[in-house]
Amino acid sequence: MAAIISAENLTKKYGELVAVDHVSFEIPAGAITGFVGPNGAGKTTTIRMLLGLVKPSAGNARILEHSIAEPEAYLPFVGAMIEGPAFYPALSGRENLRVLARLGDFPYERVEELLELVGLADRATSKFKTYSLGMKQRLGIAAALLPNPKVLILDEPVNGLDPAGIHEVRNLLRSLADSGISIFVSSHILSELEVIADHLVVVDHGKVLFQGATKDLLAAHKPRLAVKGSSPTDFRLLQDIATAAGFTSEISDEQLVVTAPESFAGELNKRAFASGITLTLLQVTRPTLEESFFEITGGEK
Amino acid sequence: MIRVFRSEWRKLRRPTLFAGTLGIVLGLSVLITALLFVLLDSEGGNGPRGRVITRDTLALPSGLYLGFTNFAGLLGTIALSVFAAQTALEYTNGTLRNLLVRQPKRLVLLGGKYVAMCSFALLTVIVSAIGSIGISLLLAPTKDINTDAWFTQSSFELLYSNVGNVYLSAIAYGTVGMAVGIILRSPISSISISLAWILILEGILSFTVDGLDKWLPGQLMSLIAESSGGDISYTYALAGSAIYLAIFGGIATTLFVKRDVAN
Repeated sequence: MAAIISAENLTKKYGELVAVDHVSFEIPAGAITGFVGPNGAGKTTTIRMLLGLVKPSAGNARILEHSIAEPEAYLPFVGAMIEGPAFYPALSGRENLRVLARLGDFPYERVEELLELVGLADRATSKFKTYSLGMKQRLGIAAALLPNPKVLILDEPVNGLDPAGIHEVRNLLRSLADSGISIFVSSHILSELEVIADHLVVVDHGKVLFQGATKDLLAAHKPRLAVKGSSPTDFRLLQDIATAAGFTSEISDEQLVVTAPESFAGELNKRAFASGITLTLLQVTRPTLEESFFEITGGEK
Repeated sequence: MIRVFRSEWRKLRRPTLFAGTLGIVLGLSVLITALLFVLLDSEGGNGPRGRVITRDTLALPSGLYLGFTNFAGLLGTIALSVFAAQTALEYTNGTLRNLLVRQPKRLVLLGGKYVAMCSFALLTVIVSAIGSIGISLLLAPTKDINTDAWFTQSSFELLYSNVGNVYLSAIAYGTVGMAVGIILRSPISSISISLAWILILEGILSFTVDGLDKWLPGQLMSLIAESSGGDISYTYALAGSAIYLAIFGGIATTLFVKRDVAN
């Protein structure tokens, strides 16, 4: 897939502080790309540079083949919600969207379509300040969709949403991606990105630690087998079996966790039975994105 | 720029700002003008700072808009507050980033916003003039003031020139408000610091240091509205204000265009 966004050595310094440190990545077209990193990793600063709001100290990026030094060339085709929804509290949801529609020269019919799409049509005349956090987020997404964008850049779009709201946004993003829109979405809710993101860019301390397909990140880490015998003394024997087969293991939460491929499960069961152990648990577990994330960022759960 | 102008007007026309500001302008201009007539023979004076404005003065061609001229200073401070608030709120609300995504040409955005606010200021000046002249026409007969001179060609010419000067003064104040709003990025700080400087500090300085008032921006901008300033000529006030506005405007424009939008 061609890159719809590409960054090359993008850097932002505030005095001595390096917020974004020679970041390079490529965002494929027509996919949902997750932008992952802990707070202060440089995600929002990177997004602001992509949108022409913050000038890079060094490096460059291209969106839709235009340099970020010329934001007027690509922003008409880009929708964005940066660091949460920001609107005029005293204006209604509809008026807020109309302010932006007028500015971007989009028809008011588009405003009505989007209010309907994000489920705010019945509250369109209510003032923004009376909206719940979930409604504010949905209005932010509607504003981002105003230009019928080719690229959608969303910073923490599910922040503050309840599970139903998260589900709605997930479905919305999926359907937008299926319609051909390239989506670049940052989130600290890693389980959320695991579900929706086709690709990932992982950053920490201003540097890119991983970029590629989500499945590649997950596949890079071996699956594990959770094993439990009927007696507590079985752990020692089971550990010996795993070690003899060349796999490491550790006891965690009253289970023995063996770092081994799924194919070893049958062999383990067989050897345990031969050693007189009756297994009460034998389960294959794959590392979650969260576990993979903490592993590559060197953090702790 | 026309899109920015129309977009800005969607914000300016919200009832609390639009009706609220115009209501205050109308109410105060009517009140200040009414006091000119109601207190006509009062020993305490009927003009600003206890000045006595006689029946004969009110009968002059300028009597038609004297109340309006007395209100010019307040129109300036209202313009300053509206310009400063409308600009600084974009930073505190975080809405500037939305605007810049939709209009990345920052000079165009700033220009469109400025022109929209200048048009709002024009509306306040017109409403104030209508209110003030209306109440003058209503009260003059009750105080036996001869209004023949009010309906002459020279009176109308003076009126147009006066409205123009009051408008120039209002947008000068407004420009300062907008510049301070961009520099400080906080509506409360912008308005309070600007008004404290213009209304309090400059007042104290001009009373305590002889000849200093011709160097103070607020004094010069208020003299534009009065069309003449005694020792200080209208041209001097206009040129002095223009220099200050060029400095303030230049700094604010540079900051608006160059500064990172980090909130």
